[in-house]
Amino acid sequence: MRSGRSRVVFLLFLAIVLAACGGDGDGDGGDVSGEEVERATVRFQASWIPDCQFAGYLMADAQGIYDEANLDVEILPGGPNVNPTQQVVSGAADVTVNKVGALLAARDQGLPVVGIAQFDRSSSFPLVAYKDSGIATPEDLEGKEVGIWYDGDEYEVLALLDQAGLDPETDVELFEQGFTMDPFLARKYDVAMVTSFNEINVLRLEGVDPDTELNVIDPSEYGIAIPHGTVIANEEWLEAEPDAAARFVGATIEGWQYAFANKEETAAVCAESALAAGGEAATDELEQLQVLMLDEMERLHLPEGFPESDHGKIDPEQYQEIADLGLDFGMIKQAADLEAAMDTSVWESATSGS
Amino acid sequence: MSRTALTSNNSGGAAPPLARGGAPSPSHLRQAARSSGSALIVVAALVVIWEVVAVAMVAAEVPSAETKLSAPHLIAQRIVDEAPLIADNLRVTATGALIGLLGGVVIGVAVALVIAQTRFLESAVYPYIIGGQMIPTIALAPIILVATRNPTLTRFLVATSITFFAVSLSTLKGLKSTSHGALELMRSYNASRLQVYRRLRIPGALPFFFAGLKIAAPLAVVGEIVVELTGANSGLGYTILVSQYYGPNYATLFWAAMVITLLLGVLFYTAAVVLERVLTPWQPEFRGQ
Amino acid sequence: MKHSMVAQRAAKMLPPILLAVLVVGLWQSGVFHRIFSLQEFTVAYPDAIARAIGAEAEDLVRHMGYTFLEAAIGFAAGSSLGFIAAFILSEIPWARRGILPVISGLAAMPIIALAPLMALYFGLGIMSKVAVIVIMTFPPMAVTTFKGLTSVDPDLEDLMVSYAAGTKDVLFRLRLVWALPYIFTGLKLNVTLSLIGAIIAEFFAARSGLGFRMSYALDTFDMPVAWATMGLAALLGVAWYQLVAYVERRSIPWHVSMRGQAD
Repeated sequence: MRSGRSRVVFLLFLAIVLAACGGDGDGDGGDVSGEEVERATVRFQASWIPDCQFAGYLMADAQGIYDEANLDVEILPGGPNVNPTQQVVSGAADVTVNKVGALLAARDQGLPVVGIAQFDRSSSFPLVAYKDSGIATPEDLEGKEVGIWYDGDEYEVLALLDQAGLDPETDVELFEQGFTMDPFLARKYDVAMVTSFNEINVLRLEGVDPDTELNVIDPSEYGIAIPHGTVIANEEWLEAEPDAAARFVGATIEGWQYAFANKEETAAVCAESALAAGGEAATDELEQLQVLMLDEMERLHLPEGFPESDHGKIDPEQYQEIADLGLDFGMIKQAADLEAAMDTSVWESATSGS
Repeated sequence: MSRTALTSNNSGGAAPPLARGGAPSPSHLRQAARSSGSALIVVAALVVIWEVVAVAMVAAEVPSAETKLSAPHLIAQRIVDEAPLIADNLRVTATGALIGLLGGVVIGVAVALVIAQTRFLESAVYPYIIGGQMIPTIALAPIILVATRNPTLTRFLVATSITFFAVSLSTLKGLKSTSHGALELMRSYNASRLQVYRRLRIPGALPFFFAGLKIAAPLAVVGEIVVELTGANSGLGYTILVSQYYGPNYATLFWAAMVITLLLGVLFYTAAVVLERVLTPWQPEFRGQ
Repeated sequence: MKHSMVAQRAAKMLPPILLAVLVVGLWQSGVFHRIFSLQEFTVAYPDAIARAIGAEAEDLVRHMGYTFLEAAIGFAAGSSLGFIAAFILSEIPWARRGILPVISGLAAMPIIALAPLMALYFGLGIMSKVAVIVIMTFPPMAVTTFKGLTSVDPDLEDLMVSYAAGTKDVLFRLRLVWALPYIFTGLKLNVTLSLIGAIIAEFFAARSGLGFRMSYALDTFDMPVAWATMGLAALLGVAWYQLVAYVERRSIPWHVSMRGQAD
């Protein structure tokens, strides 16, 4: 009846159905509460406002996918005043998602965190410049004011500048721009760091069409990429609950797959999550933005030519490149011990269907 | 400078050492009504000017006009459209601010009373209270969150810390402002320490306490907003954050939240004023103007 | 006479210094960490903080200077405006009760919203930070000065008038003098607000300053530097505050709270 074998069969069946239908699960976590599998609590710290940037997690929660995997997941909202990695280090949260750079920087400081999955394949923090300013390449940045985010997002820019032979201290005026695009829209400065999944769409919806009015300087095009989407776990928690971690990663991947296949529905959920419910008019507007965000998240997770079966997999080579880059630019002070910084077994067991 | 006229009283106004009570008289109420009426006129005038400037900015195609200053009629429209959203978030912020204010008042008064007891304590701790104010809560909040691993405790500590300083410093000043003549008088009557406090020091400190309270009250709202940026997803502060993040489409929501926050601050301030009026009606500014 | 005054001043500084030594000693020995189960990376040890200061001394001084400049300009502008507003209001009886709450409502404006807004108006330079500080320091000054100007015992005013004192005399000899303690309360409050306003405004649209350095350190887990900047901010604030307190002592030595040798 509820033997271990029938449960494995059920899960395999579920996995096949989900893969075939592209996530048609309707969260019926009903009668498979295994005696074999203990229910676990996972506190996930979102690295920012809980919108479609975290669609996979939101949908895995909303669709009961976490529930099915015997996980009670608490999604903690982030914001400008929350340091997600510190939350995980202190044990206030078990797992978060952030940039590879954040993981390596934390490990460099001896903090007990481990990367267990990697969702974004490329960088999502390009620079944009107004076309009429004539700035189109890194070299053009000389002598210009460039708004960036200093909370660990700046290393791609530093690498870009170095490649172009510019000194970030003297040749370019970098400054912390904060989290609103308003001053950029008011042309207070000409070059800004944006996220490819939010700010660039905000600009688009404001009538500043990225295709016709902005030049995009994408670090990936210059061989520099420090992607976001690294799932970072507390080392102690991981050692204590490797199975829960694997189930979390697996359910999250399913959540993302569902989100990509059901964008309208997902956008509505994300909008409500972001605006904490209550407002009809506001959430309708917001949904448009969320759909665009989802499109971009899909491009980041599963770019053309990338096998879907590798969704969320860590690429050790990519991590090595980033570690080398980081060492060059002071993101980390000593060579990274990648063996200790990442645990690929979690993704392996999450996706092997057991 | 006439010294005799000035040295006989503390600067809390001619506070009688024995607290005299008194309800506001009808003429006072009439005057209150008159000044509220005039307040409304002033506010209405400000709103009209605001509307004109905002509309002019849009007409003159000033960049980001709506974000810089949304027009009052658009803000009102937004508030109506988003009434449930705003009401929910207002409730969260108001409750949090109230708790923070109460916490700050209780702890602030307690600390002031304790350190006023000995000069040594006072001179030892006082500079640190001063210095402690200078540490921006917005920087401390994430550290407190990480250190306590407890969002509720963090919210309380952050909200309280902003109001604590104003209340403790002003109460301390008040406790030290007791007229020496009156003190001598009480001592000559063999009044006990407790009696001195009840009848002289505390009533004498009240005007100062209220000065601090009137400053702390709107700040409590600010403190709560800081709390809401530290891992929350509700409240007016969160609404402001979100509307800034998602761009100019939400400019009117941003301004709506700002206006409501301002009104909440005014409400808290007014409550403090009313409390002051009720508890210390003997102050000169409330007397026969 | 001079010696005893120096000795007196030194004796006054002793208690806070003793307290500091005690706290720092306990902190370094890890007592607080154990009691509150703090982790080292969250609350750095004093020796790490000292090292961080030493390593970046020059830069930190530069940052401090920049922040102080912003704060000072904003302080002067905001306090002056507040004073003028209070004065005008004290002359217009029918307007006061209504306008004062509105002014205080301004004090509830969250800096986190003000800072980007001011950057929108004034660009990325020092003006946007100064604007934030002006908005923050205006209300407290207005409120406290107003209270000072209106809390003169009416009997005293009547007394002066009965001596045929002109309006100017009443103003300068009575009302302003009486208001001085309140004005200084407002000024001391504004010291804090100016500094905090400057620091927080520097979390957005900034490239230097104590707040900028603080936010950068917090974001990159550089906790010793973060704590160092917070400590330096506190020191700067205390020094500035004591300066204002000193001026206060000299200006209103007759005030009761001065006689208790409080500040």
